[in-house]
Amino acid sequence: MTPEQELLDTIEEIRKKHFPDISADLVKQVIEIERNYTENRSEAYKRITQAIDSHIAAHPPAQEAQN
Amino acid sequence: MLAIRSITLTDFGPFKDEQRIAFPADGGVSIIYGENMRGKTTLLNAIRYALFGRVIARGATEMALHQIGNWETAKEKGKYGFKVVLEFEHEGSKYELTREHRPRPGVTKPETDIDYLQECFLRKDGTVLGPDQGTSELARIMPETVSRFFLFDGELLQQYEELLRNESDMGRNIKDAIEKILGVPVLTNGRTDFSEMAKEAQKREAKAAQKNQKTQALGNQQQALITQREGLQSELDRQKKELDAARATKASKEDELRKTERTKALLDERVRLQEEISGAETRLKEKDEKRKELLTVAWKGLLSSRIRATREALQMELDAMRETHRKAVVTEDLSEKLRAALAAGECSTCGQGLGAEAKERIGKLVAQSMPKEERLKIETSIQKLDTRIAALRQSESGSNADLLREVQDAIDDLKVRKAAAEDKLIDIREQTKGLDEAEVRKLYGEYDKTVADIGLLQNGITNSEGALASINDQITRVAAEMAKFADADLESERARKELCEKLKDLFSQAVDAYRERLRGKVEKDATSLFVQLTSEPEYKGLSINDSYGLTIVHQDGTTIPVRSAGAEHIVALSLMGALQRNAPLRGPIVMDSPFGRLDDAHTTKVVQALPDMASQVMLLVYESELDPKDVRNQLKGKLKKEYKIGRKSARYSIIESIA
Repeated sequence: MTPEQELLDTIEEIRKKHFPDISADLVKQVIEIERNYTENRSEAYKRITQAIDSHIAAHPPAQEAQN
Repeated sequence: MLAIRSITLTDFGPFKDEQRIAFPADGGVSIIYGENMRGKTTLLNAIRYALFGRVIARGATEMALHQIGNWETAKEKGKYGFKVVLEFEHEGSKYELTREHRPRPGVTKPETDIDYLQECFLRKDGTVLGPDQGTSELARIMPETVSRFFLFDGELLQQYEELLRNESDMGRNIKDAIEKILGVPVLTNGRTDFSEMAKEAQKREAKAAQKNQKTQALGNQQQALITQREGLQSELDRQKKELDAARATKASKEDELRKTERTKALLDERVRLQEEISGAETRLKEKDEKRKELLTVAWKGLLSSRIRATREALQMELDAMRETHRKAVVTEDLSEKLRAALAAGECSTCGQGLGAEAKERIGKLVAQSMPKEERLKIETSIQKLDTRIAALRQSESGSNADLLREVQDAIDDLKVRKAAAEDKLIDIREQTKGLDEAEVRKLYGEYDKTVADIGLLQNGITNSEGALASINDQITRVAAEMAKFADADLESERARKELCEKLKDLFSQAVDAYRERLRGKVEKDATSLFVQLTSEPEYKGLSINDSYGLTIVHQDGTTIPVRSAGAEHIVALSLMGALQRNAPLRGPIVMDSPFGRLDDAHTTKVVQALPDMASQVMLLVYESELDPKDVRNQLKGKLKKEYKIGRKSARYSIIESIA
């Protein structure tokens, strides 16, 4: 298993067990951004904010609970 | 994975004009042989310079730019400046990194860093990237903070022992670098980002509440609390920043202190000896006074045997006199009773009458008793003898011969000790003659001050964190109140905030879990390498601590608390290999003189393990450190390329491929 996959598996196990209402795709997307912009923190923050905005737009509060 | 394909140096250090070293495309081990002062460390520095624009001298200090260029070129052609071009591959792309320093226009002979202009650009698959893009690409491929795991020398390997010291700031810095190469920042940065986003979402929630009449007051209150929290947070950030800076200072001071340990030990010994000498002098003075005092009655010691004989004779006389006196007292009492019986003519006890014969016998007995005057004379003599004996006794004890001997012995002992300390002091004064004592003492003073500052900052941080926790509780309570009257806008912002908070918690838990997994994997891989590298069969592996510090484990299950420099080296190399195996970020290992502290058996084992440590390994060694014939036999097909740094002159080295 690659170190990248090891990290993804670790967070996915916790998500499934303790935060099942959080989207697995969103977490994966965030990990990808953090990985690509480890040395550019402001860019990472900007891109994650955009990812959260898109996620909320696609899953408004009423639907969020069901997701 | 980063793989270096070539390095081209122009007037860099002793490498005059343009010289190139190419490395095989299929990785493996490349060895560059060079005797001392030929430029092995300069080659390592050339890679560091190309990647990060910095050159590190011995002792981890940065070199000034005007010291880097080739001296002969400067002297012969009046040409200053230097350049390194690094060709490498990463994730299927080909890169060419060029970094050059040239004198500024108008500067004929640069003397400081500001006399130079730097030019740096990165070409990716034939296309030059923009400056920001190039910088960001380079930072992604090889962040400087993790370069210590790729470019290192024997000196650097010794630092890994710091990971076993919980309080060491250098150890903390190395731990951060280890976590960085293992990819932990992907999670820790996520945790930080979501923590910040949750705060932003709280602000948006407060603003949404302010727009609704039902929740306006609560929104205002929340806004005020958030503003208050921002103030506290900014103070906490300042304290943490100062703490980081203080810790960095402490780490660098620790490093400097390590180098001055011997000097400090000599200086401390010098002070101790000076104190010992001065203490001995004081005690000598005291003992001398005591001796003088004792000498005033010492004459008594000369007569002591005669006094003792006289006293003993007098004592015998006294004893005999006391016996005579005792008998006289007893017979005196009996005589009184006999006189009374003679006078009465009958026994005073039984009342029987005395016959003539009895009277005659009693009369004789009474006549034999000591007269009173004589008894009184004896008593006077006893008193006189007592007085004389007591006086003689005093004369005997007053000589203090034993005490005088004791004091004299102490004086002799102190003189010997003082002389030995003075000898040693002369020796240490000689050794410390050229040392800058004030500088060393200043360094220790600064270190102590930094430690004190760290303590104060830590207290301040604890207080600020307490205040922040309290205000966060208030914010949570107000948010719960607002939720009761939420409209659609407020509900939407509340959902954003909750999502960010959950993501923050998820990443926090993932950080702990991932660290735990990594420690297990690093321990396992380091153990497997260590067993391969060590020549001690009783060592069965390594155990890891929270800071990734590794301790040797004996086959009986106990740990080895102290290890030699060579063992430290082996443990550090095992850690390096384990990190390479578990890091998302992989690259070549470039080692400068790594076998200096290892014996032949360990050197052989390390050489054999090199291909397992990284896919590309470059060794910079001198031939007596590593015999070329032995290495070829040990590595066989895994040895891909050999170079030799030859000498043209003291300031001109040439790189030659070994055919």
